[in-house]
Amino acid sequence: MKRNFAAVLCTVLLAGSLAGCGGNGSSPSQSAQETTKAAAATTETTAAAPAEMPSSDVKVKESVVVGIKAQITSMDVQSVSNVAHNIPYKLTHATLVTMNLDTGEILPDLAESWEWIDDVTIEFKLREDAKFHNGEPVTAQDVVFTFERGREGIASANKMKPATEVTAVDDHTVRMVLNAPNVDWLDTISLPVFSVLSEKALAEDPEKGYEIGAGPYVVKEFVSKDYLALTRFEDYMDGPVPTRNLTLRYIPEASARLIALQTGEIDLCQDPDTIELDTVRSDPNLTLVEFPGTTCQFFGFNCKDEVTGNKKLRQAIACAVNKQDIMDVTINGYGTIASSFWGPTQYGYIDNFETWPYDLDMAKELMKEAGLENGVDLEITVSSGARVVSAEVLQAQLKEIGVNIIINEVDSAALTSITNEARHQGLVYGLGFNTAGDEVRRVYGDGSSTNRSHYHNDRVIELMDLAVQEFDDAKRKEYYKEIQEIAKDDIPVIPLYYEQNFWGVNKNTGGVTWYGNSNVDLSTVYVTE
Amino acid sequence: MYRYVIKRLLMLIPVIIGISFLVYFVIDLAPGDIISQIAPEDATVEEIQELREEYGFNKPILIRYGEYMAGMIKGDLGTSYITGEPVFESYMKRLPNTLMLAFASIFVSVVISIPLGILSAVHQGTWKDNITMVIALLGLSMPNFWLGLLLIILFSLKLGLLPSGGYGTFAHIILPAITVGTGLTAMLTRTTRSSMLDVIRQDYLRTARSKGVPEKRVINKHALKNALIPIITVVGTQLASCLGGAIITETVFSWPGVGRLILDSVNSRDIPMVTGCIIMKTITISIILLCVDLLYAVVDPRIKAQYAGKGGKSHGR
Repeated sequence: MKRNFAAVLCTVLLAGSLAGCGGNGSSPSQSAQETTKAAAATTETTAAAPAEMPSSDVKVKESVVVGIKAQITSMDVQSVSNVAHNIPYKLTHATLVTMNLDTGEILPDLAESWEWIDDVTIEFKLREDAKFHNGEPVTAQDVVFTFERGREGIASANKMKPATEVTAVDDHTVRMVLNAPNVDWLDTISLPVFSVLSEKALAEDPEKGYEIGAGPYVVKEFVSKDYLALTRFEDYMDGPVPTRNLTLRYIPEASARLIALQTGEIDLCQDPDTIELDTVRSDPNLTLVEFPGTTCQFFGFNCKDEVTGNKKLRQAIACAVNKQDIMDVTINGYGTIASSFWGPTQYGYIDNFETWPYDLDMAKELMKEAGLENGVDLEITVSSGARVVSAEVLQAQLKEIGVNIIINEVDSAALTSITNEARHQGLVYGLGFNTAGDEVRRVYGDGSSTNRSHYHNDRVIELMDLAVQEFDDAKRKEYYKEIQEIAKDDIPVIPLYYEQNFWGVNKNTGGVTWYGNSNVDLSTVYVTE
Repeated sequence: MYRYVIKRLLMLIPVIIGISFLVYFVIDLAPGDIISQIAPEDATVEEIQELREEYGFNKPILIRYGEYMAGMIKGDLGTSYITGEPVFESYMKRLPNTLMLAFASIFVSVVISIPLGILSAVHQGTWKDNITMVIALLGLSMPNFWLGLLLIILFSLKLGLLPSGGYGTFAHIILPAITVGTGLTAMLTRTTRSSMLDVIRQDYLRTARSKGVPEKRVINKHALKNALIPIITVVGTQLASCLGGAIITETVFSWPGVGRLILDSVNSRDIPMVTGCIIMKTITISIILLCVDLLYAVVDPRIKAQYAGKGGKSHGR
């Protein structure tokens, strides 16, 4: 009897555990369909909007905590350049100019005005009221120093190369001479990697002096890979920001990050999991901020490989890929189908670009033309979890035309090495686009490590060079259109979809500028009490 | 005894050389290197090659390893390629968090499992025994990340009693300690039970009972003391394993311990950080295991006599 009781108890507990692991019991496809509908139904959710300051009669919380999903490893603005670091750098440092990352409009920051002297020379007038956190005024010499130091910086060296000469004309005037005309130069120098550093601070403290910037927040405490505690800079050139203390706390696990938001331990939660979006929507204390992203997930080919170097095979695959299904299964439908490998806010983007249709008959015909009517094996290298799901859907879809996908799952370090050395055949990956037209060089430029397809086309290179030096808007757009048409035909990359961006926030949050390229500007964030 | 301790400490030297050699070579063999992580995305393939040379990756692995070990002999564990911080400093920043979590988890485990194990052994075959063993099985089977999330949902979200993550106060450690401790409890309960079962059938306990010693005293003093050696062994091993870092628990609770540091460093191929942390971890674990071995002598006079008599040539276990 006792034994029977123990056995029954074991069975019940085990069944309970399995049920817990099984979620709500709906099939993956059913669940995907439901959430796709949910995605479609929530387009009215808070849209991206420019930051607004709180009115003077509203009391705001002294301390705001943001739960971030990626680690901050260094506060040296010239050492890393990616979204995880651009967000904090924008809080502590200032650049000569800044940019509305959605519209591409260039706005003054440390420079109150600028003037092109000729096609390659530009002069900036600095604000005289701008100060660093150490109380020193921002001078032209600091800008010169920033460029001198930046030429050695691991993230800044390449980006600073076009400026062959940077000189201080006087205390508040800087002149830059470029190696060639560059229409996108102002876009480029608005990146946080061009943040102006204090020469004096670095002379006094070479180890940590780079933390001194002229941004709205001062670094109070930075624990690498853990948190960044900031306190507002009272002498900030645009006046003190609403929140006194701002902390960026690294919470790697998405569910734990969301629970911390629900319990009020954090006020903003970056990138909640798409399966938990309804939790945010249904919580009366929270708001789901949803805005279109500019990160494009893609299926790329290695054009140097014997198999995937076959253009007809690439075209056949392009006709056999059902992007909607991939997006539905991978991110529950929260995204926008991509037709061109181009950022939706990038200069030269073409709405409704006509790409390869989903047409299995055409795909099979192209397979014949490729000489592969009997099928072919193709290895896809892929790193993180969600992209493995995309690769699995591709595997099922391409079976229809006789392409047998073998998934090679590696970690991101291995993937980068494999693709840099062109040892892959295909890959599923993502790329975030900014607004500059010349961003195209990252994907189709010779030698660029983000040209993971190792694609080369002389005409594309020529067009990229022409476009970046062309001041006539119409001509420039024509060049970029031609590049996209050539890329469609050569198809080194099949763009799949742009991911939707999500943040869960305390319902009283304001002052954030939600940029599609994920470089969210938290400078004036506040939470009303 | 002292000779034994010195001998054990000296044994660390070949262990460290062996472990550092293995770690250094295995990471080097893994596809991908640190350069792919630190190079800016606009770097050309040629520039990546230049960076590789700048960081010394063009040198043969044996020379790089030799240089690393030369630095280590001088007490320099190297500098992280990713953060630029000295490895020793990064490790020591995280070690207190790991120690705190490890000891708290062991405390939770010991407090729960020893009484449960005794109860189970004393009432062998009864419903009490069965329920205890089912609980132990449940604890052993339940994945840490799942239990951690359930605890967060219950105690942080629903009841609002404890923080869901982070560190700094006593309240922050409760949920991570219960999460790790539960997994350990299962194993320790079973060990305590089986060790007690071995002991309570011994003649000297029957003698004690026949002399009229109260049952409580028989179990708690005579039986438990003699059953302690296997329990100490398991606790020591579990403590050593906790000091390596409870990576999943650290991730769920955003607990910045050594485990997460090592995992992140492996993922980014930060060789000095991985090698340095594992060397430090080896030293820490060896010291803990040495303490456990010495504790045997405290618990068991026969072993103490062995240490004293043979100068540590054999410690009996």
